Amino acid sequence: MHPNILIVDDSPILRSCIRKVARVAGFTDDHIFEASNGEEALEVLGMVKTDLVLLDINMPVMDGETFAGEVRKRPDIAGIDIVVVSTEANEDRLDRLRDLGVLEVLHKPFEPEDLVRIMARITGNAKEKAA
Amino acid sequence: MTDVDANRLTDLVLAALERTVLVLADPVDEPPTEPAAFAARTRFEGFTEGEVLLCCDAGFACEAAAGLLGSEPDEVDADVEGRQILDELANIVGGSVITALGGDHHPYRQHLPERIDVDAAAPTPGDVTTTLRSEDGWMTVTWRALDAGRAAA
Repeated sequence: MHPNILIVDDSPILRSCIRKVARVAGFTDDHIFEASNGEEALEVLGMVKTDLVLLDINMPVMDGETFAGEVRKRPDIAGIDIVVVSTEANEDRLDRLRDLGVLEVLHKPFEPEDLVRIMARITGNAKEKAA
Repeated sequence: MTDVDANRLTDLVLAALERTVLVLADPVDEPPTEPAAFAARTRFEGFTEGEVLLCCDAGFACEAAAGLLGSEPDEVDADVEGRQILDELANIVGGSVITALGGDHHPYRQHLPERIDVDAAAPTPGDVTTTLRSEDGWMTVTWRALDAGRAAA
């Protein structure tokens, strides 16, 4: 089974960019989902079995830190892998996110190759778990 | 808190452009001749309050958007993707300035980027500013410290 990925970012052009990178990493469009804030992302997670969330932090409506906290409270989705892709560099805030189980933090500006590597590694693990 | 002078600001912007949108640019001294098309800013508060303002022409916006999307500049709609890329660059450059000012444990809170009128992005005395020219256009970036009264305005 091919893993599903959810891109959560309030910037439409960043979502488009990450979608292109995800295609390079082997994802097809029917396995790539998008949300523009944490609240929308929770709605998507309620409808689509998702393996990896690529999460911005500074977003309107619901920010990434609040979203990650909400995910961990819900047993049905608490195990989803989350990678932060953000300009956020405050280590205190990033430590709080790691405490919420965030696997990796990729700082903007990022190299697309770094994102491909992270997606391949994490979704490779997801494939192994599903096998 | 460290300071961010014009040279440091230029380095931060060049790094963001090269890494994020694959645009190579050079700092220039002379003011641009092509008309400004878009402007954006992001504000922050912490040790000090400040804002980072970006302004560019349509050529630069399309070049940057195309770089991010892996397409050609003439395939990009300046009013859509060109506008969006300047918002995102404000977010990224703002984050870089905050980290340069306060380090990895900085207390700053960065606001979401906002679109502003190009006249509002013009540098004023006391601002730190840099103008860069790429193959297709130009962008000016300004970082401005705000006192409490101006920040609340």
